[in-house]
Amino acid sequence: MRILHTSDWHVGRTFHGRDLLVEQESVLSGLADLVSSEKVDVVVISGDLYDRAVPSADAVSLCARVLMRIRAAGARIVITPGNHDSAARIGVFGEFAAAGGLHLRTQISLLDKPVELEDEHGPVAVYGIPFLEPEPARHVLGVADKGHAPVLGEAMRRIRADLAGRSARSVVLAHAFVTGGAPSESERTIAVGGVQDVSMQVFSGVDYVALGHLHGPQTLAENLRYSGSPLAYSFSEARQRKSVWLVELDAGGLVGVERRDLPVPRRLATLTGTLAEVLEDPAHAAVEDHFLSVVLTDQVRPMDALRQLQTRFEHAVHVEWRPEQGLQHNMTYAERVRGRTDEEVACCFVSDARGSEPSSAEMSLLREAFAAVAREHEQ
Amino acid sequence: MRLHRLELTAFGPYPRPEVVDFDSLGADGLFLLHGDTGAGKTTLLDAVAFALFGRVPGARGDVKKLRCEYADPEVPTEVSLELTVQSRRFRIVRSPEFDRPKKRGGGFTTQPAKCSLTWLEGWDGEGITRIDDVARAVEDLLGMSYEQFFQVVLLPQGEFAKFLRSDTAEREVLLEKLFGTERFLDVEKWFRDKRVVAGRVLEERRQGASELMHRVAEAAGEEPSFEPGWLESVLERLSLAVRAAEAASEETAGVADGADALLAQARVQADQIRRVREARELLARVEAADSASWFAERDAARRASPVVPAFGEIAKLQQSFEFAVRDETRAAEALARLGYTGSALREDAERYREEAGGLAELAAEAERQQADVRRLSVLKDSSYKVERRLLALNAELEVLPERLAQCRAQLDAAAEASARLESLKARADAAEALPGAGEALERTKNELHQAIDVHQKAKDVLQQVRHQRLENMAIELAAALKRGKPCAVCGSPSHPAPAQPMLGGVDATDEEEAALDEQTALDRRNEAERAAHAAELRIQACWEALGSEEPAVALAEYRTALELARTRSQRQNEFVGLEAKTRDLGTEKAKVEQDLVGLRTEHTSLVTVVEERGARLEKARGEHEDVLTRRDHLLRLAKALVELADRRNAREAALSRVEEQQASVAALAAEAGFPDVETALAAARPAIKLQALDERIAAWERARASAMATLEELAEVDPAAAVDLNEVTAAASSARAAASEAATRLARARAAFDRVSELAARLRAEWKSLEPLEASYAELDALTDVINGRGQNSKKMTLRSYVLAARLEEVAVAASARLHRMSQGRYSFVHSDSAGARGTRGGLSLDVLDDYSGRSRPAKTLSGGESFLASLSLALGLADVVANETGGALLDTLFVDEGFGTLDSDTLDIVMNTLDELRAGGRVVGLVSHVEELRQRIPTRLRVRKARTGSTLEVSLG
Repeated sequence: MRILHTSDWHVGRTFHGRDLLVEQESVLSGLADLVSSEKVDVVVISGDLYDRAVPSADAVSLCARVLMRIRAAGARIVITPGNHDSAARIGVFGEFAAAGGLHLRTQISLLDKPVELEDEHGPVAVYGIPFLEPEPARHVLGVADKGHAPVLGEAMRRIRADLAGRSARSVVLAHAFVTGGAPSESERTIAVGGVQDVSMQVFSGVDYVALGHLHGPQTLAENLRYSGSPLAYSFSEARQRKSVWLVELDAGGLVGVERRDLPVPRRLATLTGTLAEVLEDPAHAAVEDHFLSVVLTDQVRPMDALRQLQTRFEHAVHVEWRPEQGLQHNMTYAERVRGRTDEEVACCFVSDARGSEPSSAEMSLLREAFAAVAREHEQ
Repeated sequence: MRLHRLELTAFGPYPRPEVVDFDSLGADGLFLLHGDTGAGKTTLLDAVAFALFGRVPGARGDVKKLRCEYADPEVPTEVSLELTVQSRRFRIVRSPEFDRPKKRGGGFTTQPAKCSLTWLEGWDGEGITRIDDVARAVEDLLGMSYEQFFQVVLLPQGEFAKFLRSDTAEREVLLEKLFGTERFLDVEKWFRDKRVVAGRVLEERRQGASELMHRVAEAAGEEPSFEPGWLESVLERLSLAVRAAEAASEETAGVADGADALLAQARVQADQIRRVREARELLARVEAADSASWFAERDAARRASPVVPAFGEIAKLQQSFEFAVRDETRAAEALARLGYTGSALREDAERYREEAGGLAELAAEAERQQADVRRLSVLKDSSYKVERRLLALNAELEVLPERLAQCRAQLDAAAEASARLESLKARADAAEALPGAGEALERTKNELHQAIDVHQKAKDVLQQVRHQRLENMAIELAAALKRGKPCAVCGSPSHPAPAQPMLGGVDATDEEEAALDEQTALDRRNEAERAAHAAELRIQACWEALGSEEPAVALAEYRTALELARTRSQRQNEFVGLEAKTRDLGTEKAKVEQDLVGLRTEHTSLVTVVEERGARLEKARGEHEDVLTRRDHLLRLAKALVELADRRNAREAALSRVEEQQASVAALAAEAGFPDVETALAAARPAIKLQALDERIAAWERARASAMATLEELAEVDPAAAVDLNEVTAAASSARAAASEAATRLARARAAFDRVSELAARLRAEWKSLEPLEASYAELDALTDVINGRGQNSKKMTLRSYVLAARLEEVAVAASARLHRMSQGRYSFVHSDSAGARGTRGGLSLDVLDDYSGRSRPAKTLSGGESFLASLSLALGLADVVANETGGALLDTLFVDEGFGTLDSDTLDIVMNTLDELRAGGRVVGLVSHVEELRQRIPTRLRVRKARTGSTLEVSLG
């Protein structure tokens, strides 16, 4: 059996105010071609199908088209919701969809009921763990401890218990931050009370674990991988090779995993220099059709910089003014805030306002606050 | 974002449909929207905002008042806006909720708000019709909400300078939305909420500790106090009380023990006196009893005890003897009934048994004789049945040959008929076909006659036509003549008098038709002739087949033969059946005759045997009925004789046993010392009575011994002495009561001490567990204050202001570039994080640096014209910074509403230059103003005309 592992499509996501539907459709449709050329049997999507809980009509219809193409190319599809998705919305009409080969595994209470597939070697059980928001998941799974690791541990325990009663090879889809993974800027933290990662050992006992959440493709173990997002969603991902995994199972379980790079619809680049240099330097001809983030080093802040940049670089989407000799003396806040994460900013704020650094207890309070607010914003 | 076209109907002051073509207005990049005050200039901007967001900015926000009051009530209010965002061109059509007259009857009905979005270019979508879906699509595309839009794109009248003058709190709200940093606001709120919850939890716990302290005080019986060391002092006091109670308890217990010892001694003494008195009484009673007679009675009874059972045995033996006498009498009676009169019992019995043995062989023969007589009667019955069957067989065999012959004849006749069937059928068919053939011949002959007639007529017509044509040949030739061409007959080229065509003329065509008719008639005639001939042949064939036979006879003959042939197989079966029956009956007859012979032979021989044996048996019978009966009688007689002899012997033996036992009893009585048997029996006592006698004697002996022992043990005790127990008992019980009261007091003191100790431990634990809670609450409280700009926060600046200050700094830089130019180098913006007056929060102040004085002052102190310049700069700066953050959706259309009236003409020049520069990047700037001077400067104008019936638009391009 051949399985194509992908995740974090984030259909409907914008890139610095630019909508990406056209780019997303071209890359995702390429998956359908991959399915037919590589004779893929199943496509598994480990969460974050959409970028938000209530996706736009365009995003939904794009997604429907892409999934139809993949199905028409001959693969069945298994999807679990991620932290950006609304499980209830994704899972609607799930049983009808299953009849057509689209398996939506969105219910926590049913996470130990696998999609049962079959190849010439026998059955393959594909379990989808929907993203487990710790509080509600604790309630459903009956777990006392707080945090992401205990609920995921209980989920895997149930899966192993179900697996013990079958003679089948197994694949698990999960959406989580597993210790050892490398994050990018475009992921939203799933931290609760400061702890967001779970250990690799949680996933022992299955043939392949298709992870989602982190946007860079990476291998934590031979059978434990992140596929990463199909497109870059932040400039920090400019260097990543976006790809999917082709997973091969035979009678004995995992045989091998191969990487297939995805086409890049529009490359990302960052330019630095004065406005005049950036506009005139012939060396930049190569990046004229890239998505551009430009750092301007003019000593005096140029007016209408983005408008001017867009005359040469149509897809310039972000400008930052960072004078070569540092910002003027009256721009101390910009200096303190720029390029820092929210938590670092909050830390600086406390130091500045009070005159003393926040204690570690205070830092963990701040982290908890940001995580709680991030979740609230999604809902 | 670029606007293309705005259409509005019955909106604001415009009762009729109006169109604004921004593409042509904006061709120069700058246009003026002017008109009288209140004519509806700003309404056009409202229309744009309404189309995009369904609401209008500022105080005009009440959407229900958007409908034009002058408009025809039937005309719906509608705004349609066409624009391009992110290279998608689309149109939004929107109507607010309004009341329209009912189609039937009076009154109004409410038309709900409507909205639709149609994609025009750059996107293949299906369009969107739901209000909330449209709102989401617009917000996604523009990348901003309506608040941001009104601040950055449509700079509305009145609110234009608001941002410049607002304080930190107001700026926070706006900048937060523009830069999407609402999460920091939420973090602030999160902290406040968490503090409230944590405070509530802590208060509950404190309450718990306080309740515990009250319980300590109550258990100790003291007033609670918050003084340090109170708990320890309470415990100390309680511990002293316990020790005092212990001492008192010990002392009273000693006194009580002494009293108890005295009491015990007095009780022992009193008891001994009582026992001595009782023993004396008992001894007197025992000695008065008649014990000697009890001993005498017991001894006599013990001696008489062997005589009693031996005497009982005599009665039993007497009984046996009586039974033996009765048995002997019965046996003698039975023998008398058999007719015996002799006396030598055993000898006679032997003789009769021998006689019976001699009769045994004859008895077997008598049984065989009975069986043979039964067999003879069976043989007689069988012979009769066999004879009857033989007679029946003979009768049946006699008639069978005749029936066979008859059946044979019928079978032959049927076979012969079926052999003839073939030839008879041919004749019968011919006879049947004959009438049809006759009719056919008749019909074909008639048809032939008709065909001949028709042909004859056609032949006549042909000849007539040919004849006529020859006669008219001249006319025909003449018709073929042509002027100047030679005649086919004469060769002359001139035709002086050609024959003229006449009515009813005949030509070649007519002749051809007639010839064709004749040929057709001839064909039919030939065909009819052939049919007639064929019919004749058929009838002849029929007659030939019949030969000399009449048709009716042939038919009848055939039918008869057919009937007969059909019976053939049935006859065949019948014949075979009869043959088989003849064979079977013959076989049976032979067997029956053989059986009869066997039966008769057996009967004859059996009769002889029976007669001979009968004579022998008659002789042996004697006077009895038969031999068997006689033998039986002899056997029974022998048995009765033996029985009587046995019974007589038994009776004699029983009598001798009775006499022996009587002698033995008399000997026993004498041996036991009694004069005779009667005396011995009188002295005897039943076992139960003897046992009672024994017990009475034993009890008497025990009582006597016990009384003697007590008197010996207590020899020195004086039975006359007296002891007073009451006094001693009362003293002991009062000492005991005092001791018990002291013990109760001790237990109570100990319980109070234990209870208070336990509660104190809990209270200490509670205080201990409260410590970290208090600490973490204090930490949370302090941090929440800091984040919300209070408490230890020396800057009085909130977290969100801190984050926004960085953006505001850049906005100040961007705005300063423009303000500096427009104020001819005098002013620029500086950001200040100083706190406001009276301790209000700070962090987002904007000051204006006056280059003339070199000092900065608050923006509020600027004059009207300066404020306009500053506001405009600030708005443009803000738009610039926002664009850098989210570059996806650049804004290509910008409106500035009013404010120009406050400018002198030099400043207006500078402002106009600045606005001109904005056009450079392809931007379109719309100015809304009624200032006269602007009309002369800006050639592209959109004029709003006011009238009593509502406003109208008028465009002037250049």
